[in-house]
Amino acid sequence: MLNPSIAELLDAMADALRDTVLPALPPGPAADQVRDAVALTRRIAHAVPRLHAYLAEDGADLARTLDALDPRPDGVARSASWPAEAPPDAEALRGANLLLREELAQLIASGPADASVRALLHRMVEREEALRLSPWARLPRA
Amino acid sequence: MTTGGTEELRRGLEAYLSACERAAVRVSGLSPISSVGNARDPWDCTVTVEGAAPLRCVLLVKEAAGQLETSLGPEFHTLAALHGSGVPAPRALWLDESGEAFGRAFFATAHVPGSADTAPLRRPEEAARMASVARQLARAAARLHAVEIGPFERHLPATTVERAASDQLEHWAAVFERQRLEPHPALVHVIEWLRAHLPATPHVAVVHGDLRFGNLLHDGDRLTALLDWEMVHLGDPNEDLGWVYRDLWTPAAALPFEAFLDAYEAAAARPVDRTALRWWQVFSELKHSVISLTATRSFADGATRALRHANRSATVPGFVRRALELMEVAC
Repeated sequence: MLNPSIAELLDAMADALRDTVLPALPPGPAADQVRDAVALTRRIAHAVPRLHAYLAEDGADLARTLDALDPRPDGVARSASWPAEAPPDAEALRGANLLLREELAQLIASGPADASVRALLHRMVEREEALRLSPWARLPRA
Repeated sequence: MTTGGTEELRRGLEAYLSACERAAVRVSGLSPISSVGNARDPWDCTVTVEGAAPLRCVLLVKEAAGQLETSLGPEFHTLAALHGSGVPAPRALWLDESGEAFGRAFFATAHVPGSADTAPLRRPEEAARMASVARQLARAAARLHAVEIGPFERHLPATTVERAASDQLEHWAAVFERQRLEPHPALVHVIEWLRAHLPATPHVAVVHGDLRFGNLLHDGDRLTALLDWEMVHLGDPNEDLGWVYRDLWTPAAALPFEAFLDAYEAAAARPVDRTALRWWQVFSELKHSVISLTATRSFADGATRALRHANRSATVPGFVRRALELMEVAC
């Protein structure tokens, strides 16, 4: 069964909570929890269909940038690897991605980030913003 | 807190305040105040000490866990020391740091007239009123930063002009290391950049730590009090200026940042070093990122069940992007 998708189910659940539960609650902590549950459910609904592609692209970019670093800072050896073919399991991708991030964080802590690393950080943040719906995303910017 | 919980709170308060005052105390009108704050649970009430006039108060009850690692003492004692200083702040009344009264730590302040809701001021037709309050915020900040720090050194960790910036940076870097649930290379990059570009501190001042549109009371076009002092500390006055106009709460639609700085500089009688200010703006993005990570950590660890904390880490990429942009401008 492919329909409704997980994202559609979660969105419908958020709509139902917003339209049927929230109006029945008096203002207070319970209503706040439901309001926040709606926002969180929408964030998950947004992320679920994009997560695998995000992790695959992010991990490959991290690995490429780390592989190309020359020279490498003293004492920071390549420790994490990235599979040639992205595994279908998002959890496996997440684990490999976290190892690469740890290596990158150690590398940055060991000395100033070069231009390729700074560009990578910008790309990572951009991808992460596209994946995550900020709870404050609708606030006006200056 | 439930109705039963409210009654329990009232009884606990009466017993505790009676012991403090060595007189019979009656607490009435106890009701929660709607708040979007995350660290303190505010309550309205009236306290009548036998033989004295009723006094309307605000109770600030510490959340079990959340986005900040703070205790109530520094906040309470700061408010007490600010009384009579000319800084608009609520008057501190009673403190129970141990939770003896009703199981959660709290302190009470005198009620100050005004509204904490700044949304009405953000309507385009209220721009003049908002600009007026923003200018008063600039002057209040200048007044705060000019206060003699001696009385505050008893309750707030000491610092020096040489260490003020690095003390704050290393404090938040340490919180980051304690609270993060995963590696954050971009935040490590921000921390390393801040370490490499420490600014000069003009003088050590009382720093509010969360000075912004939203943490104040206003009555008409008058600013009546600065609120939410839970991150108060001694440090660099430019820190508050780096925080006050962040994108999330800026009043720039009514008063541009340069006009705010003009009002501050005139009141403080000192120029604000724009390079140092940029550093504090980058620092502010780091600080708010770490606060958000702390909130998410509290939820992940089960220390709080408030769902608003679960989603807070989603704010971090936006803050990091802003920090990276500011760093590029500064370089």
